[in-house]
Amino acid sequence: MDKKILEISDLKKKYNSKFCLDVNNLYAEKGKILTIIGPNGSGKSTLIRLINLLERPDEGKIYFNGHEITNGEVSQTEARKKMAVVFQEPLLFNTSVYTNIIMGLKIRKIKLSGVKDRIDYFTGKLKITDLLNRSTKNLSGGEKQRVSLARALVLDPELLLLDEPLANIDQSFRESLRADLFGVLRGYGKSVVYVTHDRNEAMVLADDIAVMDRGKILQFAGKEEIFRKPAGEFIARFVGVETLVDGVILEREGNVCKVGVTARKSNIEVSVVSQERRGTRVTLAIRPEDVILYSTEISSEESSAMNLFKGKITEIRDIGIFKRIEIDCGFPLSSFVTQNSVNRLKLALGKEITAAVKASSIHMFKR
Amino acid sequence: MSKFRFLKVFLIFMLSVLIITTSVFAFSCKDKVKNTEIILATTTSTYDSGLLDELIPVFEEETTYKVKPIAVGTGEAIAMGERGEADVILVHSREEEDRFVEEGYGTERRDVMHNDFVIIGPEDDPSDTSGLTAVEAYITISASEALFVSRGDDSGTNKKEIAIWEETGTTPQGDWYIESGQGMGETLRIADEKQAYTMTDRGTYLAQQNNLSLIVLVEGDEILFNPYRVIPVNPEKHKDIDINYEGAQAFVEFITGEKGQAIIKEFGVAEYGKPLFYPDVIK
Amino acid sequence: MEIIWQGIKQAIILIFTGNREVYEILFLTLRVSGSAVFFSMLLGIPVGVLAGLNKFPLKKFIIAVINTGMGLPPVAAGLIVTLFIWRSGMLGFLKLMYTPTAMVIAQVLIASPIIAGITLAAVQQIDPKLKQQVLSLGANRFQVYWILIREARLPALAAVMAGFGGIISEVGAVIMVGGNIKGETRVLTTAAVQMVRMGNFDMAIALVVILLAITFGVNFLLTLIQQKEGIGWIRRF
Repeated sequence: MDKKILEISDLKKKYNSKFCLDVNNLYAEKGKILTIIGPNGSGKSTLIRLINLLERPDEGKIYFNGHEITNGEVSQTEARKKMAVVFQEPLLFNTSVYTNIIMGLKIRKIKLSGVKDRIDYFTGKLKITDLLNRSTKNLSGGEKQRVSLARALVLDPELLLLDEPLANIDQSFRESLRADLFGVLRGYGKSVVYVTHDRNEAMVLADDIAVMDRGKILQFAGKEEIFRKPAGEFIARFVGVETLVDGVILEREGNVCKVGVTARKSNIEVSVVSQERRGTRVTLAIRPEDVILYSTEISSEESSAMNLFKGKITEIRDIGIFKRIEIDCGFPLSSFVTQNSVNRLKLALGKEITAAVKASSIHMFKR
Repeated sequence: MSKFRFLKVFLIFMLSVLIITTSVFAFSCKDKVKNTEIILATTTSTYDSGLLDELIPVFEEETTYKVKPIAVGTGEAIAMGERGEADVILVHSREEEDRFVEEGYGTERRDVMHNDFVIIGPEDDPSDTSGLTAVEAYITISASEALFVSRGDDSGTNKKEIAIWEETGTTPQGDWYIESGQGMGETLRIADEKQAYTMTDRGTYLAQQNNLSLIVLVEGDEILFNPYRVIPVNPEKHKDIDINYEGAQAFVEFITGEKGQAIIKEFGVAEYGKPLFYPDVIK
Repeated sequence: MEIIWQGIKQAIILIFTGNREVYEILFLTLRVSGSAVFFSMLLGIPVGVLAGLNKFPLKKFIIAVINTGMGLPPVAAGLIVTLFIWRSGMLGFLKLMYTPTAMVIAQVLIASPIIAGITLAAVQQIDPKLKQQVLSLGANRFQVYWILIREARLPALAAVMAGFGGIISEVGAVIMVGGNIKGETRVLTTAAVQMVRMGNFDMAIALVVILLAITFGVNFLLTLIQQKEGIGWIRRF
């Protein structure tokens, strides 16, 4: 049986004066969560509206469970009844919370008596049981969005579409709602397409990720692959790669390439695991988590990393649990360390330090 | 649905609701109203006196007709007759009535009743009109520029007033000459408010007497004679309209007949001591 | 002064002893204006909702027509209807002149634009994204309209009350097409005018008191709703 609940093929749509949506292949697998990430204006919301047939594409096809839904054979209303959408704004009706929650059920003519358990389950999970009889008028933004989510979830749709559901919620409420929502989604077992511009949400939630920018899908792969092997500089930065350096492959021995990187003072050689050819122009991506710091004198026994960079600390920045250390070793290199390490290594501005990076941790893509 | 199709459907929808509304009501009423309806155009002085409220119910009981009395000025009543919008008219303007019949709009004219006009004014009578003839009174009123309220509305009363002014040889104008443009009742009230002179039919005066401080100063003059006549509208002039000629004739027969005339004779006596109208056919 | 006081006393007596003429006039008024507002609702609310929620050519023009219609002087409405239904008019054969039906038609002409205009404005206030949310829930065309009308139910109710208030207190249209015929087409407003003309002040005052009571009642209700103090059952509807 077809594993894909949703498939998009050669979809094109002009969505603002500058850009055109152009997705040549994207799909969501049954029972998995596809996260679409990208900056504002990248066309993510337009894509959701196209999937839900709220807008018509200029070209292209969308398949739901193997059947094409963009050719008019299936009525739009019927197609929509297999999905449910939660938008950035809660978009509630001015009646009670309970009436809002069951509105979709009433529209789809689903008997309330049969789904009472479902209603109780989701209102419980989203912590709005106490609000059921209240009018939606005076609820907070977070409470309203919980109602909107409950309204969609009780429909038990084959495909759940969430368009940046947390984006408009105040910081203070966002944490708790995120926890509750993700708690529901992870145990959900149904197909979900989740759109966001926040890479942390994607990191926590996704099975598969599609990165969008300016209407195009830059990379579509499983979560690990996107984070480990971003396919370009934009994606790399978006998924949190801090260090990007340009270079050329000087030679290759077996599966290890030696890449010559143009540094401020001299050429530095970096060893990277790869099958690429000599002479290829590349960009190296080094994640800060993969950069281990040592006090300057260490022997090759202490670290098995093939790359040891020496340099001076140019910046120490607090980023919550971690500290971000920037080192100038001919090129700027970033590392995340714990407070403990800072103390142990006596890290301070200007200090000479050695940074070790495994050849297998460095990701490389062609320029 | 494309935009143009929507507009068409939208307009058709609006039109159909309007048509359905009209038809539902119209067809429910149509049967009842076939030829039993008589539209009587009459003057405000007749209407406001309340005489018709006595006459019409009796007529309706005796016959199967339903009379719809519409009160407008004499001018408008005659115009309605000319347009065929009324079946019969009851007015008080000799000249107009004669022309109406001569031009073929009415089939005959019959005397029904009469009363007279009186000139009333403030108790202290500043222009000394008491006992004068109508024409003389008008002359002194205009000479002394005393306040005078006119109907100014093309009614029978108004036409009589203008005829008297013509006899004086002067045209009334100036701040002292006020045209109310309204019915007799309102005009009397305005005159009372301003303590002005005015000319009114005796019927309306008697009916409003308790509310007025003005008194009768000039009466009995021949020129103040106020006869009412009833004229059925000529159906020949309106072939494409359904004029209820039979009904009109029945009504004419009734108010010039014994019963109708008796009602007219008695009308107002109990309340005001004098009748408001004097019947023409019986004495 | 004396007259006014006399009048008020008499008015109270007339009202509480169930004076036949007064009540006849009252019931006719309610019948005429009640039917008129009912049909105006049937016409005005869908027009307001459809015009508010859809794009179509001449949209701005039609909205301007509705807004102009809101201020249509009753006399103008009366004249328009008269020209159609008098004997020489297109619909003269229906013999509608001087009937309560004609009065209803004229009042529908007055109230429908009021109801349509206010509903239109209310519906345009609805977040356009709400329509998308309703569609995504799986609603068909009719369900969408039904749900959005319910969203605007409070202003729509206010629209109906405004329409009713407007027509129950007008004189110009009903007197022209109805003729103010005693027992047949005489309503509160026209009767009051006639009573004053005839010098029958007690009656006039009684009728005006009743009219004021009705319009006050309607406006009071309207105010409550506007202030959203609710009428509990309407909010939960």
